[in-house]
Amino acid sequence: MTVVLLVVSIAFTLAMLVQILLPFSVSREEQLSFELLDEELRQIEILVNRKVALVQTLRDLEYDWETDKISEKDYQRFKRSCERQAVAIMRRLDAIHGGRDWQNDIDRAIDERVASNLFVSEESPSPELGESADDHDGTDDALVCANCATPLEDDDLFCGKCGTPVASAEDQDLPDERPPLSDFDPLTNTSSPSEITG
Amino acid sequence: MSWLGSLAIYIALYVAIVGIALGAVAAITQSRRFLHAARFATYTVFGSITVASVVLVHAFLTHDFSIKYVAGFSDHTMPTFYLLGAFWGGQAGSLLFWIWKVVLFTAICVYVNRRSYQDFMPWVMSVCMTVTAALLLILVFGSNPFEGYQLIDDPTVGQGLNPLLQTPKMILHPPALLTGMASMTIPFAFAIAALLSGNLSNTWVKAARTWILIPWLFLTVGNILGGMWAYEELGWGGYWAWDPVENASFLPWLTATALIHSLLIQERRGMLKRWNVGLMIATFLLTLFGTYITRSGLIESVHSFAQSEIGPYFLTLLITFAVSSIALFIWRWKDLKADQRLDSPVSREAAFIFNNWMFLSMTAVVLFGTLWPRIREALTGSEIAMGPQWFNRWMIPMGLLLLLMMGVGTIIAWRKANWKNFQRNFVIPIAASIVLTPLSLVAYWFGRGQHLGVIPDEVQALYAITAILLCYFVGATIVQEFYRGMSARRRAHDESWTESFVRLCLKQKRRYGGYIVHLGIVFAFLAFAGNAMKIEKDISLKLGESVTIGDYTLTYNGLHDQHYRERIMYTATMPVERNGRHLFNMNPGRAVYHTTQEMPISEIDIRSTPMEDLYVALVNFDPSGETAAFKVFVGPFTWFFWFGGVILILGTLICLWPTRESIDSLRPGSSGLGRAAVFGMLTALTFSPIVIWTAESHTDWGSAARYSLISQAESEALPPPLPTSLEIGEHYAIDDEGV
Repeated sequence: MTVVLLVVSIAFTLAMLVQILLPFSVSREEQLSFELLDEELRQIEILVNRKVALVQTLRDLEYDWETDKISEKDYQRFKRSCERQAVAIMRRLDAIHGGRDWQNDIDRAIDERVASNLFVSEESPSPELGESADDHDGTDDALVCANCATPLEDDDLFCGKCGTPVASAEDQDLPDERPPLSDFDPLTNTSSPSEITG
Repeated sequence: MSWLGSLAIYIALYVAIVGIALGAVAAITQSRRFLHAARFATYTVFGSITVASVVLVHAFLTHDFSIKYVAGFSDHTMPTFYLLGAFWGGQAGSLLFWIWKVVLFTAICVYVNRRSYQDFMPWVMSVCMTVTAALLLILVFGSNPFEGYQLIDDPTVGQGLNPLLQTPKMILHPPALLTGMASMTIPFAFAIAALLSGNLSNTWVKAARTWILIPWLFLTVGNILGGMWAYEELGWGGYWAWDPVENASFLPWLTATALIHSLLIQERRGMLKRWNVGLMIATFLLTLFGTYITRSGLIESVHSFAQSEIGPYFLTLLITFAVSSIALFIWRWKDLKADQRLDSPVSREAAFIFNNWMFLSMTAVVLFGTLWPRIREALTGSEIAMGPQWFNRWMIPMGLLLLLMMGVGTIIAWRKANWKNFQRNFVIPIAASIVLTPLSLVAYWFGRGQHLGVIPDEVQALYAITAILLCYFVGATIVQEFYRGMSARRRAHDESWTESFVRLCLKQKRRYGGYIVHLGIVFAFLAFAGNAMKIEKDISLKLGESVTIGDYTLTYNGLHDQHYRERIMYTATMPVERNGRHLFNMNPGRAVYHTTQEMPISEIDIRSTPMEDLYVALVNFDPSGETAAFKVFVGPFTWFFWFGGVILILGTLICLWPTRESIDSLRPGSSGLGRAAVFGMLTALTFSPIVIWTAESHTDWGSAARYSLISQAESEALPPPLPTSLEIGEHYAIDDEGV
């Protein structure tokens, strides 16, 4: 038994010894690949740890408040502080995930929609009127696939040739996470795509 | 094979030194190549030390007496169980075992955190490798376990393991303590990494809180097993005698306990940053200090068998680590400023700070009591002894204060307590303790106490009653916390009481695990309170004579002896009766080993129940077996000390209970099997002391009679030089045997 253990531990030691030398004995390109520091992963790890700690703190706070171990005033203050920190962490996490920075996209899109909303209210008193006017104008942009320029029918959801969703022609600059915008408001159809998404 | 062991140690030392440099370069340059290399350097050192350890175990199992260490601590007659124990039975082997534990925990820490604590891990690896390299230097130059004889000098027989160490508990006690001390390196490394990297946020606190529970758990198990060994083997009649080496392992336990509490305050309130770093450094240094005083022979102790010539090496190591850690601490002093200040002296933070001061005061008292006799002797030349009475005079009141703070700290409000908090949280525990204490004291006195015939003195009685009162108070606070938590869960989730209890422990492991640890301490204090009613008698009995102690009547029915290759076992037979009714037989004994005839070993017999222990030691006997002297103790509630220990370990395990994420960090997708394995190992560890205790207390395995159960083959293989047993009344001239 001890002989088997001995052989296993010697093999393990030698394998680990080779691993120490490995980063320095390979080609220059492979050496560089070792140096590719995944900064995002590092950031995510730090943020996730902080988030877990904050969630635990919030749970403890809740318990302490329920058992009168902390005053109402302190509870509210700590809770607000923890929640603010948690939101900030989650925003940063969201920003890192896939590097899409969609939070800014949403903010920008909202600003522009608000601006266009104001513009439409000033220019056309009712959205329905605007919509009918657009339809009447028969702008061809909306009826052509944004990907392959195949002509589309009014009620097409996807391009019959390449399968690109019709909506993507309108929101091609938006990030993937766009539920807040998808049914944002009926004014979508009243303006040109460029006015909506910027 | 010894050459392979030596080679493995040299390789480990070399790679450890290289690992220090690799880790430092990785930390400074943030180079992934160096990080990778440093990580695998730790694994290589672990592999190398494992090779050396396996070589030594192999040498023991194959009786390779060409190695001095093997010849010095084993012989042909020792069973495999004790041969394995002989690995850490001496100085060099225990140091190798310590190093193996350091590198094992380092490798685990590095593997588990291979994707986390990126700022810290290079420094953590460097620090751990520094500790390893320093210990390896001592091993190589101070006491190499693979040192051999010249070929011609090889002995054909070994000297055997010290008979005192040949008990099952001694096979578990040293490795548990050594593991506790060795694994203290990991949280220390995180603290030093924080100082070196300048990242003094709460990140190191989070890591340290997890990693310090492991050494704390092992130190606890080690101390409890050590107490059991002393109780059963040394004939003190107690489990703690303030022996210097007991104190040496108790000191880091005290500071680690304080640290576990103060880290919580830093995590929650951003206070005590300096305190925590200082306490962490002190705890690590105390583990080295404990090793130094045990092995240097500085202090006289029951552990004198562990003494060797490597004291100066450990002193150098201790001074080097102390100076460098403290220098680093001072360098970062300004950056360790607390984020917040204490709002009110009547708050949970203040209670925790007070409890920390109490732990520190106890540490100071124990340290002083351990060292002062030696310092005074060096200064004045006169010898003094600081016995248990001196320690108890200080430690009992401080312990009671600590017990009080344990209850208060559980229920007092954060930041500032108010009247509403007092009404809601304090009234029930105070009422419970005031009502239940007199009731239970009266019930015990009339139910059992008066039959023991002991009237404790005023001070003892005061301490015992206060302890019981506080036990009820703390117990009630814990029950109240659990009740409220479970009620809240039942309201929110419609769960049964059992379900809500389990989920409560799993959802808030640290909080409720901690409460269970406190409950274990409460049981231990109950055992301390029982000492007020303890009976201790030295008796000498003639053959057939009886004596009544408490309400137990013990009759001496003679000795018989059994001969084994390595020892002669003398066993007394003592039927025990109460009010004329036979209860059980006790078999205290005394073993005389052929190799150490001048040092006979007591084989104490103990009958342990929750109410009290009956403890009988055979101290001496007439060569004819006509008369024998015994030491008899009746110790109320001693059982609760061991029971409290198990509860305490159980609570720690709940705190350490692995989360899904931590199991995933071992290997993705291994949740079920990994959890089961971790849980299985930890449960076995938790219950091992009480299982051993119960088995030894209620079977013949705990007394000298166990030798008759050991395979007869061994004794049958011997030529029959003497009758194998003596009938009652048969005279036996022990002098003829040269004993």
